[in-house]
Amino acid sequence: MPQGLFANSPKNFFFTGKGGVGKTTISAATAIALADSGKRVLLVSTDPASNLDEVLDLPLSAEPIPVPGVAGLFASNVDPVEAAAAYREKMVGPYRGVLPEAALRSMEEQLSGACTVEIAAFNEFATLMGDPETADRFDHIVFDTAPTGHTLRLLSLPAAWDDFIDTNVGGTSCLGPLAGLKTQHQLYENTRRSLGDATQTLVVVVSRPDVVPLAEAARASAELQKLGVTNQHLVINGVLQLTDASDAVAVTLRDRSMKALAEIPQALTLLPQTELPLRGTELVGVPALRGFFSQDSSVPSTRSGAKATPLPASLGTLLNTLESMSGGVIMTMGKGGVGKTTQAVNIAKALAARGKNVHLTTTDPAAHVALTLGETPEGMQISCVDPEAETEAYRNEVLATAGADLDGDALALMEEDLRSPCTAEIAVFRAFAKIVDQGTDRFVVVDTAPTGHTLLLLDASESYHREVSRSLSDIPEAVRQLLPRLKDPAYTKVFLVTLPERTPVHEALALQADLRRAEIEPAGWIINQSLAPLQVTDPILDQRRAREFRYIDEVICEGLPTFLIPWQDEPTKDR
Amino acid sequence: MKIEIYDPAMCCSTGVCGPSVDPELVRMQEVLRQIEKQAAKVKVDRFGLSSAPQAFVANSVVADLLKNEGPECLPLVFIDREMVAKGKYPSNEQLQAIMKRERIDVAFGKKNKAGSCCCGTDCC
Repeated sequence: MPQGLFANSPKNFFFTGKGGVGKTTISAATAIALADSGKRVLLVSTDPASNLDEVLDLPLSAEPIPVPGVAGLFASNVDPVEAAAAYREKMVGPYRGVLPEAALRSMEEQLSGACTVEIAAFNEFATLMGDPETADRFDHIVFDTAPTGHTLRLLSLPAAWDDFIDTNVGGTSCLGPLAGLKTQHQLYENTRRSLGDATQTLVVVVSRPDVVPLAEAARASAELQKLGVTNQHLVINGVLQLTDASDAVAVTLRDRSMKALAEIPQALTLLPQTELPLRGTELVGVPALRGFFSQDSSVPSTRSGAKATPLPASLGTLLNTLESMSGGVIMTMGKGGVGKTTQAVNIAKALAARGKNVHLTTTDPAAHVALTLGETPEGMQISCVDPEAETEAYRNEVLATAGADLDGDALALMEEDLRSPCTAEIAVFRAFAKIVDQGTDRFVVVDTAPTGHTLLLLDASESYHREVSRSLSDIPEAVRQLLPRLKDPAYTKVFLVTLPERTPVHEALALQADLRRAEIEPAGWIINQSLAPLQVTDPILDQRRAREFRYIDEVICEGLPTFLIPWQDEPTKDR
Repeated sequence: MKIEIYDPAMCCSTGVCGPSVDPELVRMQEVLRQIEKQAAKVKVDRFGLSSAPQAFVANSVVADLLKNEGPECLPLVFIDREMVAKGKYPSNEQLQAIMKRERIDVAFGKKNKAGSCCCGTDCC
């Protein structure tokens, strides 16, 4: 067991990091190690796409249950989406049959946003951390996922709490669903304080030895630091130990990790650090998790080469289909780090090479695209949506127009409201709408896609604006057209990009569900960075290759056109 | 004097969370803040459909309108139980005129220019 991670173990452990870096595995292994040392431990996940059930091989619910085989360990799985649904039902339920159907629908719509889910998740943290009864039952509480900076900031808004909620003027400000939870103010305050107390809480930032997750880890770490959550530890998970120098894939992978670690963001170098080896086996079940912290990562080779699953078609097949279209929008969607940008570049490049007029746009800094792309081919135009710049511009626009007549206090409050993640989403969304508008006479390839949440927001906004019927605000025409265009399969083709691994596939499935809720049917799946079609001899990579088939099959079973891209030397360029 | 506002279901009454900011919501928020600040005897109650539905049931006029006309009738604004606006927010002038009848003077001035006094949080 790594000494650094468990030195002066505080009461609460929080694990944070990008999807797919191994948060759940490491938090489960930590909880087991703590319980094995004789402590009473509660392990709880509040991740909407939690796979704690899968990792523990135990059906979990919001109510903690003992984990068989580990004395003193209890586990629970709080689904914030369910918690939000329960909260929504608590608000709406009593009014069924009392308020008219249309009013209930409008309430439900409003309580379906990302904010409600986020607050519901925080509410679960707060109840577990701040409730003395729970706190007394356990020596340690291990949380798989930390609250976001946004939630923490929201809860520390003194102006909003004191001036607005307490006096009930101006209603709720941007606290949205928090308004219904105002009696919990003290509980939240306690939770926030103990998050900032190094003797009570340790936040473990988890990353893969790769550029993008490291950058994300640095961002999360800095954001939490800024909010006073300073007791942090960095875990680099999945460093390949080179055992077979004749395996070209293994050598390249090792070099790539070493390079990423050599260029680790400055902010992370200040944190105490633990490095964990790449594993070939899937860490599922208590016995496997118990061995997790042992330094011995050697495994017998399984020689998986003869696997017979027919692999999905190559990207070339997809390009042939796209070529027959006269134009339209092609989007690569997926969680960060799965290779959306690289795939967007590949598709754009191939269409340009086939003589099409193409506009490629991305949130990646232009230099990266240029690097991936090489020289810009003839007939191709490149642009770059910088979310920070877009957000800044939108924020300034709002302050200059809607905020023009406000004085210091009111303006300060509006500025704070504009720091909500909604604002960034809306800003990118508007930039995105302008770009989609161009797809009428050419191909527009985008790797910046609005999330399901913004799409629902826009959908809801139509009725919202009908309600505030004399509203003076104008939705730009491109924004008004956006949703109908995205819903039109002849105009827009959305591809879900994933890696052939458990978490990215399950996250992409959640994304698919989000899209379908917004009535956007994906055109297909792209499985990126697959070892399946390659020859690997390194025993760990060979095991990982064998494991991929299960997730490839899971994607194929969705029944949408599926394409597979072999693992390549080049790192993904996603931001 | 009591002002009651029944808002439609929305994320936040400042309106910055929508796909575009509704200046009406921003105006209303600021007007109510000024009223509370300048006229201590005016009580303002603001209810959002999604956060305080009970208020919509408790007021029979609101409940009936909601039933007969649907959420499109919102916002509804009452001053001392008299409905002064339906489906929209009252204008500044309208509010000033109503309050004047009760000898309450409220000014909805332009913002204080930067540097005049707004250096802290409680000076304005």
